[in-house]
Amino acid sequence: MSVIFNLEGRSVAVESDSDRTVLELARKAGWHIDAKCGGRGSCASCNVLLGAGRYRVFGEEIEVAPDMRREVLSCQTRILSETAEIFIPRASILSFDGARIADEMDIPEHTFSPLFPDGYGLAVDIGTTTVVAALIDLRDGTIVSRESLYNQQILKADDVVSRISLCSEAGNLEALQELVIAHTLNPLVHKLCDGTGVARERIVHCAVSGNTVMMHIFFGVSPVSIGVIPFKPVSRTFEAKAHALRIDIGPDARVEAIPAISGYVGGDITSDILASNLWNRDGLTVLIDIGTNGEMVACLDGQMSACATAAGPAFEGAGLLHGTRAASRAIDTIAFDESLDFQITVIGDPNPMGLCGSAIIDFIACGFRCGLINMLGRYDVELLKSRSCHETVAGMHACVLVQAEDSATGETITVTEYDIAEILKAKAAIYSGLKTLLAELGKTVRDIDRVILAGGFAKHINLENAICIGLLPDIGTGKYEVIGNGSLAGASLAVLDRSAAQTYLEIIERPQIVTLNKTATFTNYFQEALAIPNLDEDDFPSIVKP
Amino acid sequence: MAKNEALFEAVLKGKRKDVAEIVQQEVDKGTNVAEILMGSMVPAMAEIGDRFSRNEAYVPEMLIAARAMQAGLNILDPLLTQAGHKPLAKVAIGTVKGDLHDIGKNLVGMMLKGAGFEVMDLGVDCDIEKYKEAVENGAQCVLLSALLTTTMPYMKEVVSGLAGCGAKILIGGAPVTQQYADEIGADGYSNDANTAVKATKVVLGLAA
Repeated sequence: MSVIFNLEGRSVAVESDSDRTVLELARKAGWHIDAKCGGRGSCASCNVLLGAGRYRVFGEEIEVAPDMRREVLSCQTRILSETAEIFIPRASILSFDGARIADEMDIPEHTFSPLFPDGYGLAVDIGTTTVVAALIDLRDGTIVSRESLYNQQILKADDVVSRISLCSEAGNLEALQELVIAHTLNPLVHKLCDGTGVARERIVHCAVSGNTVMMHIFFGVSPVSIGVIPFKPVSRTFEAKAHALRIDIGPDARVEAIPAISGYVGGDITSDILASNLWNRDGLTVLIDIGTNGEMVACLDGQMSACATAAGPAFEGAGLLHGTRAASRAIDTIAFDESLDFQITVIGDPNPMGLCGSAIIDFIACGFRCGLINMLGRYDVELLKSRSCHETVAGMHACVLVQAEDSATGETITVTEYDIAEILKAKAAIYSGLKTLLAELGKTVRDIDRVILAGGFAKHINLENAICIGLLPDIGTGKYEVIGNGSLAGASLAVLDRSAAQTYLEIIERPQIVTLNKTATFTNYFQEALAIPNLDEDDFPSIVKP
Repeated sequence: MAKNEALFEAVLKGKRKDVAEIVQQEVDKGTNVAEILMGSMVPAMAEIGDRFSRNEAYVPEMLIAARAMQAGLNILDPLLTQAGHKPLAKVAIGTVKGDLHDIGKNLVGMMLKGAGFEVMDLGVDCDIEKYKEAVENGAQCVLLSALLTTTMPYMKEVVSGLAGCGAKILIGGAPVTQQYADEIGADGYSNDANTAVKATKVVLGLAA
């Protein structure tokens, strides 16, 4: 059996069988179709067009005649006929072209004393969405090269909770491990080594930093226990030889994880703490890592407490009608006033296909300031209509940002009221988490001396706009510090400085973990934070209601 | 039943201070407390629930309205008890064992309160005993919530544990489906907070 896949004029034929879905077969052809729901058939991100052939779709057999096309979900479709032809729309392809990854990092002062002074080190930040790797020359400590890729686990599921759920079914843990190592890390190693001429075998030490669930899967240990109370990880530390994990570096290279603080506050945060020197700062400093899981640590004169909030992937564009990751063809900034003359910038290509997280924050902030969006996240529909920006999508009011002729998809790019509601829930989770964490210390946002923003997303958001929508505390932008990829910096320190390993073990014992749902204040703070900027107006003195 | 338009609007728009003020004024005027609740506040929550079902209102707005409703209930609750006002029915809601997620569960609880039910909130991480206790304390309907596929199977144990107790059982949460409800023998399922209210009324024979 064979199938021909077509994408933008290119054709690739691969062997097919009726056991695999079209989504899986397309990967054999080298094309990664986006499956936002994890291939469960509940979203439409993996749409393809079927050409001539016989198929089973959602358990039902269908026949497509030559010259006919039928649109289906590739994750729910299997091929039954001897030959078949499938057309993949550009929009269904998971693109990494021009993806904007924060590989910028500041490595703090340290003693250069690698454990393996001869050879190369590999520092890796394993994010839920992206993986960044740095190749480090251990003879002199120089960072030779950096590369990044999407964590290919996103083919299976977007967020950690869905990935934990997947691991409760047999075979999925191994599949996810293979996706992050064979399909993500190894290609990165090849890119790094091919580009620099360094032999892969010369990499003798590898440190990986990521959330606790990512680390479990990376080392082949089931994360299922993190999904249920009391959210206990199997282990907070992991170590193995490269060959045991099938990583394409020196077979005996030592591979270690930056140790985790708890099930939901992982080694990436341990890394952030060391990279930002959080634990040695005076006064009240808070570290916020805005990602799919918003983790935060408050440090009051050396005493740390930490929590994680389920912000969800909305800031990465997931779940929004025209949301997209921060890659080529994504709108990344927006500015406008009541004339609704949208000034947008697009990454790479001039014709956008959607908007990424930083843009939707701009959109809501500008909309709120000019009266287009009210404090509950609803449009002034009359204003939209008077500026010819109104559209109705599935019964919802939507604002047209880009006309069909200017977009890469041939359709208008819009923001619906539902999209705004999704962002409001995500920002409420982060802000109320922070407020609760501070309340547990007997403090309020007013008492904050310094905010450290870590993670790729923070690097690209407009701070004033993030404050305006109530995502971050209104304490003046001067108190903010953006450290970039602290997780990668932390992994780098682990190969550069042999004393870091011990320091990490000390750090993870320090923070007290706050379980937000068990506090008396979280539910109320969350509800207050759903409004723009917040129902507790005292928290946002500089944001004037229009 | 007379409707106080200002109160209706204040609940709908989620204006907590206004709701508390108007309710207090009405109470001071000597208006029948059941009428304040059933004539203005319950219809406002029903309205926002229907808007939600029609895609005309979203979760943040619904939670903010529910919060405003609660401000009014804080004043009314003791007075309603004094006046001998009977709730529609007594129901209990809780997130199942192993699961700590409660935002969705809280929203359903608030919408039920907003519809005139007496709601026992059992919190999160509830084992069978906790649900049983609620039934012994008069819950006519028990609502189970789970957000994870790893915690969802516990619903089946609760359903068998409560067999023959007389209370109806409804289930909900992201991974839950009608098919799953049928499979484990629950009396009903709902996929959002507004239909949860409707489903509760249906299983208790209260639907209009």
